[in-house]
Amino acid sequence: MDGFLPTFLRRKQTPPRSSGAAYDRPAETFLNPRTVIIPLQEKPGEPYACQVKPREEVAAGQKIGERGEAPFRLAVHASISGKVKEVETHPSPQGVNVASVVIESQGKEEAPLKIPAEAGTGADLLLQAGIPLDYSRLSAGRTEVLLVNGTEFEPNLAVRPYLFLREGDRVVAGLRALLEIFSIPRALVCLDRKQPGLLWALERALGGEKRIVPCRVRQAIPPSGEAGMAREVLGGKDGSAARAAFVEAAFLPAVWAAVQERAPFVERPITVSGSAVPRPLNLKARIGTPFAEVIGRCGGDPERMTQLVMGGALTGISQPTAQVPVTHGTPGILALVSFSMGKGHQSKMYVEGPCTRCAKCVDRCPVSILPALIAAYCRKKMFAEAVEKGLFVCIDCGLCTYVCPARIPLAEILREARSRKELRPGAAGS
Amino acid sequence: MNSPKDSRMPNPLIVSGPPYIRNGETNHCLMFDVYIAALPVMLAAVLVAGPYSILLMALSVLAAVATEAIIQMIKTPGYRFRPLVYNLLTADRVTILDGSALVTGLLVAFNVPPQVPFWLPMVGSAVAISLGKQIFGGLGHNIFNPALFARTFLLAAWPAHMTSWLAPFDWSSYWAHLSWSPSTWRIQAVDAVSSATPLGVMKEQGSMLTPYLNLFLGNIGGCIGETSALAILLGGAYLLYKGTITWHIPVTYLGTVAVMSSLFGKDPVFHLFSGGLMLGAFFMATDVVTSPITKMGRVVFGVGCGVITVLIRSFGALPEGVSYSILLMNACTPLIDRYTGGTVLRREAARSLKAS
Repeated sequence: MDGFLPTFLRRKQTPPRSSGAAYDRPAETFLNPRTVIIPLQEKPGEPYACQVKPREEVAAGQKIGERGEAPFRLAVHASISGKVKEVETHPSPQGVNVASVVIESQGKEEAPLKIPAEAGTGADLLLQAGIPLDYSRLSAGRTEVLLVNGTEFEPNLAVRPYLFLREGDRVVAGLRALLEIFSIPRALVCLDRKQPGLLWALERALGGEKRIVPCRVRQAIPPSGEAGMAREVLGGKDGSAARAAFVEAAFLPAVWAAVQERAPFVERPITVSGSAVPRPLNLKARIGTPFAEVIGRCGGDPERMTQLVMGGALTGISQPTAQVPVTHGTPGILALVSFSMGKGHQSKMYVEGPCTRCAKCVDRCPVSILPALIAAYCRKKMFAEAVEKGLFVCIDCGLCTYVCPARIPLAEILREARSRKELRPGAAGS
Repeated sequence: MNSPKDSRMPNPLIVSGPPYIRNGETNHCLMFDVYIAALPVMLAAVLVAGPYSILLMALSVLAAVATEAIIQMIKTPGYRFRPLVYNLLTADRVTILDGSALVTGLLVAFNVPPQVPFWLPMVGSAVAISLGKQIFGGLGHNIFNPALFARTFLLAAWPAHMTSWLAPFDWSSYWAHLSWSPSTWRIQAVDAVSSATPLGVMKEQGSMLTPYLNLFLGNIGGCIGETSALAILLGGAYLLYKGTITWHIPVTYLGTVAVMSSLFGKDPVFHLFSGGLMLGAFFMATDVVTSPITKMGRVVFGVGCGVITVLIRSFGALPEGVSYSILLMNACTPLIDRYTGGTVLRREAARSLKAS
């Protein structure tokens, strides 16, 4: 009968913030993990060429790899000093096994090395600092506006609010540095209308800066919906959205550090939360720190977890092992303990039921498609109709599945349909 | 692979696709919400229509659940009949616990006059569940609102029973003559005053005689669930607060009726609070299965219901048009969904196809 119980609770139509106390508390720093695993590939098809060998001593901040074509060679650095244990394939948080450099700490706590002076200035400095931006696009000079997504879509993440509240001056300084380096006339920072505190903090940090404009948006935007955000903010049709470039807010303090202190990008703030974490907090973790160590640092027991997620509770990637590392693109960790996961323990009411067309998915959908209808088409293999109804407009934010009272895995059905080869946009066009 | 991860073996982690959180809501919650919202309506029904209406509602719900259970047992291949009760509550495909039959049965009882024989709402519920819902494939697949389907069925089959109305129940004389013999359950049959509904009075005499306060509180003749606008508004407010229904259908429905009736020179307040309009707008038209899923579609649905209601009330032979208007718009729901959910999207989809 447990399915009736939520009747008496306030059922949220948007996920409640579960990042809890991490929201505006100062971040803690996690200096010296015992091991770091630095993946030599963060996005598919862009591997770093490794420059170290096993059993070599490396210092924190030492360059260990480079990737990309000649003018834009992006560096990756050792985030702690120690001895390279191996260069082997390891699971990465993207869900694939990639070649990774495993460095074992010798117990020394050292500040990272500065970037050598011959690295140059401007974009070259940022490349040598290892900040993964879209350099070819930014340097081409066609960019007219820089967009920063300052909203936090995921309920369990608090990195961006933390950055604007606590490190607003660094964020602004980093953004200003980017504007100068790439000679871009202006920048827009999108902030959630429901978080006026961030706007105040940003305005205080801005001072008299005119090129950076805060703008309030109606709802938080998932990373996958940023193109839509550009259309909404810049008013799409005239192509101004096409001349916008995105910058991840969490990289901006690193940009500032690189320009100001010639510091490499070896640590980033992440939010650690979830039911397996007694002390949810924002943590400045070294790149490559295994999730298990991060969770242990936050008071959680990695052995008690039942599910470990890189990123948000709505769009993150579920991990098969706790030995995956924090990467430059890891916004946070969600560690969950769920009870009664076994099939025998499952309530009859928490199984998938028939769709009653209650339209909750339609009301919540940020891109205004009809997830229930498209999922029904996909299940009946009527993919042409599904595409016509906006299958590829879906930004995979997961809200439809979150609210579905029939517990239909809508996001999963749509994702599966989108991954079909015959439906790929290219296949239909040719 | 001599990495530290092999040295100790933690719990196996569950790997699944996002999202990893749900808001815990189930279909049962939605149905149970309707029950909570119907509590004031049930109370008003007992106060206005007398204690006999308790019996009507109980029997109607019982018949609905029994019909649902029997039909699902027949539909389930290899159903084991012996541990009957246990199977009913736990079998995967026999889902009487989803609460939809409970709701349908209650709404059928709301839609009968207080003076019908006890078997009438039972027959109505059985028809609602069998011909109104299960024949289309069960929950989520029916075209028409089952309760209104049953109401029109009863109206066609037993018009005399379905159109004999009573004045509000006289509790003072009831307490005076109370004796706990079963016959007093139908005390109305002995000395009840037959009466017409306010809409019927207006249809025949062309003038509106009922005071507004009586209309609002429900001190009038009518079906047992539809008399008290106050109770229905309380229930509707609860449904809106819980998010079980959205504002689109009730607001546009009531608004259209108000605007249309004043256009025809009628009294909009009278039209809003008389007949089954309130019950229809908050409990019937908002039935999620048979109303459109797009927001724009729900607005169109509400406006259409309002227009048809006023047209039937003003120019039709019947005094009341709520049930027919909702049924007609139910039939239009697939069309509304088709034409409100997609012109922009089709363009977007085409663009995303061309883009790469």
